Amino acid sequence: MAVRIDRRAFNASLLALGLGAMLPGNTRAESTAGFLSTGYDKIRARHLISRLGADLDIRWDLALPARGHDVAVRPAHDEGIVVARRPGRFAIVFDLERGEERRRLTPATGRHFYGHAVYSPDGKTMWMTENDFDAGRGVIGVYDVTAGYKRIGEFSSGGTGPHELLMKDDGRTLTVANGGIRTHPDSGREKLNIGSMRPSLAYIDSTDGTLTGEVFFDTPRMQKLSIRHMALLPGGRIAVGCQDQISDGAILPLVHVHDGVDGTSFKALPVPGIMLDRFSGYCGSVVSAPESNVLAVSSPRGGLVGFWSLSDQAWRGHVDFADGCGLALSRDGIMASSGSGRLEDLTPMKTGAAMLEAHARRHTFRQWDNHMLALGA
Amino acid sequence: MRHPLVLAFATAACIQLSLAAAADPPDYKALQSAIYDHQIGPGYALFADKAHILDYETIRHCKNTGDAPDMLAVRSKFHEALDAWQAVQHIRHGAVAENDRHARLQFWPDKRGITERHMRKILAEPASDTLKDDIAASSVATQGFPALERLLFSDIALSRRAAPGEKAVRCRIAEAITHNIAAIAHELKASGQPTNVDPKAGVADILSDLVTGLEFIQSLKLKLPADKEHPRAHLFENWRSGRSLRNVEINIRALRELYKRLAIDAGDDDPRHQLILDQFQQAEDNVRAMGENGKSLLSEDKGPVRIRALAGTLESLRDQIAGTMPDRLKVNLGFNSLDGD
Repeated sequence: MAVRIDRRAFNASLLALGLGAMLPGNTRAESTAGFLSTGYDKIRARHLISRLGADLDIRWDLALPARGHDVAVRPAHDEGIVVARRPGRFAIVFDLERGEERRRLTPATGRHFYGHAVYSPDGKTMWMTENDFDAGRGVIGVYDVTAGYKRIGEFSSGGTGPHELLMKDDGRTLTVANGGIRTHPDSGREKLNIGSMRPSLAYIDSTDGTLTGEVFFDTPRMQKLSIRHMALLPGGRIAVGCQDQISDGAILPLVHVHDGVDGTSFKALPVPGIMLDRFSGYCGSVVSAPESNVLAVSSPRGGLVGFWSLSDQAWRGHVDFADGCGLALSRDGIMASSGSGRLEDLTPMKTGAAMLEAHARRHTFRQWDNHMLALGA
Repeated sequence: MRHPLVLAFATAACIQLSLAAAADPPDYKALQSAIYDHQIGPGYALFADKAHILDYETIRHCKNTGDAPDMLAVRSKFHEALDAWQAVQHIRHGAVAENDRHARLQFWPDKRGITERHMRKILAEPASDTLKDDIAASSVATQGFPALERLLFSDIALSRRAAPGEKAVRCRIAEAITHNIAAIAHELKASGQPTNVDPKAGVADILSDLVTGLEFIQSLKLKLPADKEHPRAHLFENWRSGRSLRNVEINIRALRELYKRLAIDAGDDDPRHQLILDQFQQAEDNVRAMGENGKSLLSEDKGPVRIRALAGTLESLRDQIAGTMPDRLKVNLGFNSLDGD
């Protein structure tokens, strides 16, 4: 079976590098409370947010009005938020234990949601990427969580088509992936500015919305790479996964790292030529697992998850995973989900008997959507 | 050794397949529109009409003959409305996938008996005056056909007076449910062709519905109740109204029509499409010969075997279609890889 062969080779490469021995003892023992994932129930034709246990059983499903996208958990509280897929018309705050809807947010006039949200470390503020669609301007909506998620303002996202946003370790700086693509709800998901798109990674002071830094790709061709998803890496670095918006036969690197310092450029992460082609110009989720020394990026169109080591940013191999997109930290590494209902712990450091007991499950008639999130214990 | 003619035919078929596979992709917009205009749109329109008639008949029954045990007329309209829903049940994209409409119309399968539990609870309390307005926000298990079926195919009359041991008036609950079914059906009819996906993704959604539909029927509507080790008649869809296999017959006919439109009407003249259509037809003939009532058939000597054989035919159709149509239509059946974000 392709997955096993690839994984063996991958494990072998890790062991050869001396990484294997350091990993099993440094597992994420605290990440045992399971996962949250958006998904689709094919039997009932309903979009969902679901909570999975650490055993990968479904604990609860909450039906959504339409397709969801990403989910965030409010720090130190028993609730999370799921945001509609763009052009999103809802975001639902839910109870983590029972999966009950607590509050439904709708976009401000002239805005729609882009699918991602992030909370402040104290859980008092929440920010969402939004579209000021008539102006074609990306904005970050600011919500006072303590006032019932009241929208208390907005500021520029520093670009067009903002997608994922993250809070840096300083608890103050937001990093925003401005995909660069202009859309308007009147024309659905149609891309209106591919010819002139200019994606960016923006650093924004969350206290006042000041743009404190931004990074662009250098060449016009590279600027067709829409920056969509990110992960925070140790040392203040950011990894981004891109989606190529044109098909001209060029095979470009899709995963880049920025060191977080203003004035520096992206650095493309290495990928063997044949594998680069397999990414099919499209990255799904980006997750960093510092304790496992792994950065993982999924490519549902390529049907694989690629891995790099965080310490030296070298390519470490891949696992074939058909229609896989969602990635989350798992007990020992990376949990991946797929559109065929599969969940599998793609733990790179497992070997021998442990590997044969792969932590995996397939939920029939279930399609796991783009993103998932690990819950801390 | 195989007969040379067989080999020649196989070779010709392979050439034809490779030619077809290398051909230009279909006009996705035209194909999506044709399927919407000729099948989905009319299907929803018919369902909306039949649901409206069911609602009207339920009101009429409760107004005029509410205390009489004869529920024949309203049962007849129930069957007609459910026929129309079964003809579009396989559609799982667009408006029906929003606001939980699919599950609100037909919450099934229901292995844990949630509908039964909720209906008992509802009947044990006086129905509120605003039930008709509130029902759309209540449990999905109480909103659609399975809940209504419990009221219409019961020994207790659909009456304007609470039955002994119950506090709710059955007519009031039935009217709320038929009103809700009619409202959802109207929303589906009014929704029009989905515009928020590009036509290629729209065609992929339709193909995905076809494949999922076949899987849904063979696995849940047939194999589950006719399980070799543990046959369980109460796991049939709509067994109370004795129409589990009538549902399947309608489903197969609708999926055959959908396949025909996706294959032949898309301009692909590969002769193997006709072979698949013939298998659909054979499956439809087989299920018709079994009668409408799956529960009865299950208790017959050869009944379980016949049901499982039909499931096998549908499984084979699913495999053939899932194995060939994505390449032929040049679309991807993947959920995440289809139209990402």
